[in-house]
Amino acid sequence: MKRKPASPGGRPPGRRLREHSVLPGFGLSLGLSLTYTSLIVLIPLAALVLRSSSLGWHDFWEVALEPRVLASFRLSFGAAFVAAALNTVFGFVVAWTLTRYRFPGRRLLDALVDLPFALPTAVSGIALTALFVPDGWVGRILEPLGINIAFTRAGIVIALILIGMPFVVRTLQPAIANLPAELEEAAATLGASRLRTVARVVLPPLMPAMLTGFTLAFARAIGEYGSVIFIAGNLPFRTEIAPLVIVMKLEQFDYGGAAAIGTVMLAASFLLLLAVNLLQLWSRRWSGAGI
Amino acid sequence: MSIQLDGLTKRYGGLAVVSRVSLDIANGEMFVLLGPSGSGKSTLLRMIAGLAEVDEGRVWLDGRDVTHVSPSKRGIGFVFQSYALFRNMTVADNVEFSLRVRGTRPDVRRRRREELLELVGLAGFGERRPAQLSGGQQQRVALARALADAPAFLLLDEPFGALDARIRTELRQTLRRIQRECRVTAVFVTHDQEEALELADRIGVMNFGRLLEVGAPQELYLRPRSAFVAGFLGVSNLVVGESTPTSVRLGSVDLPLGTETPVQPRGQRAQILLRPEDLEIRADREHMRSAVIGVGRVEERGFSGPVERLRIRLDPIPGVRQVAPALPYGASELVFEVTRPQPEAVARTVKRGDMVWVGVRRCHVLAPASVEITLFGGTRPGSHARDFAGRFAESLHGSVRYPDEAALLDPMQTGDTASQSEVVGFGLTAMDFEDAEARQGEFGPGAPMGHVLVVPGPSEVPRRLLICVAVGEPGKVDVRVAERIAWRLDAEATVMTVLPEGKGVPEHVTRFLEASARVLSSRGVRTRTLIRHGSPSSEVLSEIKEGGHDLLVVGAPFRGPGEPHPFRGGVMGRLLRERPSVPMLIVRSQES
Repeated sequence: MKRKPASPGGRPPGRRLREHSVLPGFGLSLGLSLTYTSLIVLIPLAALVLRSSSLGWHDFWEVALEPRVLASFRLSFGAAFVAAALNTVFGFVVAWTLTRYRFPGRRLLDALVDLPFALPTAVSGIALTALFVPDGWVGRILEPLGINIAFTRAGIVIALILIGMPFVVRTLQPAIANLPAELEEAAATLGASRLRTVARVVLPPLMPAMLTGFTLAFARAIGEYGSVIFIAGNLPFRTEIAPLVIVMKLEQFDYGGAAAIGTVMLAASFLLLLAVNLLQLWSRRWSGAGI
Repeated sequence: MSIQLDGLTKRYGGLAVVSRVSLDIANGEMFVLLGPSGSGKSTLLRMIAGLAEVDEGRVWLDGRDVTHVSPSKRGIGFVFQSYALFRNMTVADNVEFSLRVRGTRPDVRRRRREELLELVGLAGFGERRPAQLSGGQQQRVALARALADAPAFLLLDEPFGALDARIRTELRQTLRRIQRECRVTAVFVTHDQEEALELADRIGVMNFGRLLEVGAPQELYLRPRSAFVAGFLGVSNLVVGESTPTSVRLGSVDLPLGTETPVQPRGQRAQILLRPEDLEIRADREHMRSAVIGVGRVEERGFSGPVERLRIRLDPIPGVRQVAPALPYGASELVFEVTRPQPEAVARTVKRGDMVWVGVRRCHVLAPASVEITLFGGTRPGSHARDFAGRFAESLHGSVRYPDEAALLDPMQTGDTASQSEVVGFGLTAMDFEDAEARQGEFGPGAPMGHVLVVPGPSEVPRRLLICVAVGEPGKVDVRVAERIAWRLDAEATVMTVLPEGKGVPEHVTRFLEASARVLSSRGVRTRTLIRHGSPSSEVLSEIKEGGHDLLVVGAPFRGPGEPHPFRGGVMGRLLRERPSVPMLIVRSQES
């Protein structure tokens, strides 16, 4: 391809892509990306929507707004939100420790972070349940205190924390590593306390990464099924998550109903992710990284 | 507001990166810490700021002991090489940061911020983000931010290191002006000698964690004490000649002393510094107005604005050895860097290949590099090492120290690595053979990094040195160290290498030995070379007997802090086991 000299006023983004890409041919790689994304993401989702449309508008809403289904939506999105929020806080601490300190066993701890990625979620669900049932190792200690984890919403949140943690840690680690230690030192020489340094100097530049981590953990938690069903107890209206409702519909050969609930989850997830992405865009600009 | 440092030491993993630095910086002074990278200057600055913990010693700011006070309570401003601006804040918020921390009223804050931005030449930039500014502008913001709370001390860690030359010069002037206007005591760290000379009230030159010399720029440039400082503060032609009570002598030429120099007994070896501008060149001898030292050929000629740079090669002068600029090993001619002001260069042009007379207008003699012998095992009676060290030191015009053993195993205390020895004379650790044997295993990390002198029994001051070398870089260090000792003792030397049985003599070995002989004989040491075949340790031992040698010089390269047993394995281990009958000088050269 013939290269043109750069125009002084900056080049349009498309041109830049074309000139700097290492892949052969912009047209080819764009085409491939679109095809790949379509095959993997768009077409299955479209099929889902199509399947649910076989119900008709009225039946669709009947299924989607059924009280038991609504309760499962609330639980799924609520627990996922709480788990992702907790993960963001504690994942930050873990990522900070792993990045900023050198201590014996650091590499081991670092490797452990990835474990929830690799473990079949059912396994982690069974392990957690065994731990938290009233005569399990942890449940035995908590029961006399009147705290019940297994078969309650708290148990669901714990399962979701487990599977979401790596997302937060792994997104934050490179961001923390890129944050120069001089920023903290500068704040210290300017008289700032630790608290102020964290709030005004350390956290703002990490905001975009934290939001990304939150989003990934949240998205993953909404769809989680395997680990939750073991610890949840699955009581309708109380500890029954939306994916479980879908599975039950499928088991009753109610494909239309399952697709309808799936479509609502899809739409809600999409809107939430869109909102978080916009927030992230805004915070990126706010933290000075995007200019 | 003064700064006092008292014996500051910082260690990382047992190695001292800053070693016993004591320094007084006066109120309102601009003090520049100058040194190559890794010299410990930044660590020293960070200890003053409280950003690095102090292992030993004390820091006093304005008479207050702040050694263990947190950086936020020291009343300092710090400027980083990377600017370290808060990118999530505007320029105004950055500058106001320290005032906000202090809870200053908003209107006062705004006034102060505007005043500071005006001062650094960025008035009206308050609403911008750091990312919208150039590097030079960002550093100006960082400077304003550091000064906002009117600190008494401003510490700058290579602040202009990441900027290009023109902006650097500009910022230097800005900084000097602001520092005077704000009457702040400043410590400025840099590796750029030009920056140091231009900015400083006083310069402290650091290397290997030590503060070598402190003085006004002109003082340090014209009258450095050590070769390292001479070389670091500009181009230096450094030669070894002789000093007499009234002059210094380069071969047969007496040079007038341009600077006060310590009076030394006749015939003392002296390192003579000739700055490029101190040398005069002319095509004809009659018009020379300086002490003529010889004729040389113009090798290189370069133009650099205000001056013309020439490189002139002179024939060898007997008894004169060049130290800097460094020549190839074994070269005995002299190569000088000369500069001439542009008008002179235009009026009397010379071309490459022209022959010119070279004269010296002014020269400076460095402080004599003394030998310091540290005695291992203290003053134990009947110690052969003690007897020998005393006599040896006397003949070398050196001194003996008797430290306690704990201090001795601290490498920075005893030791001088080979490269350090060029800076501060050189250090030897003397010990009895029994100690060397018993301590073999302990010469792990923290082993004395200086040269070691092992004394097996009653010994006289050496007259015949056997220098046993392997061909290569460490061998060159061995020869240079031996040369100093042989010259001082007026001893003769044999340079020997041992090759495996039944092998011919490769040409590079012969070349190396010849070059080594030239290094020694250029200083007037009677030298012969020798090649033996067989096992190194037994050949060395039999040569000692057959040749009547009375000091063995061998090398043991220092291989870094993790080396297990430098004297245990290989030739060195066998030599120590077989116990040579004469003292053994183990030269520790550092692989760089």
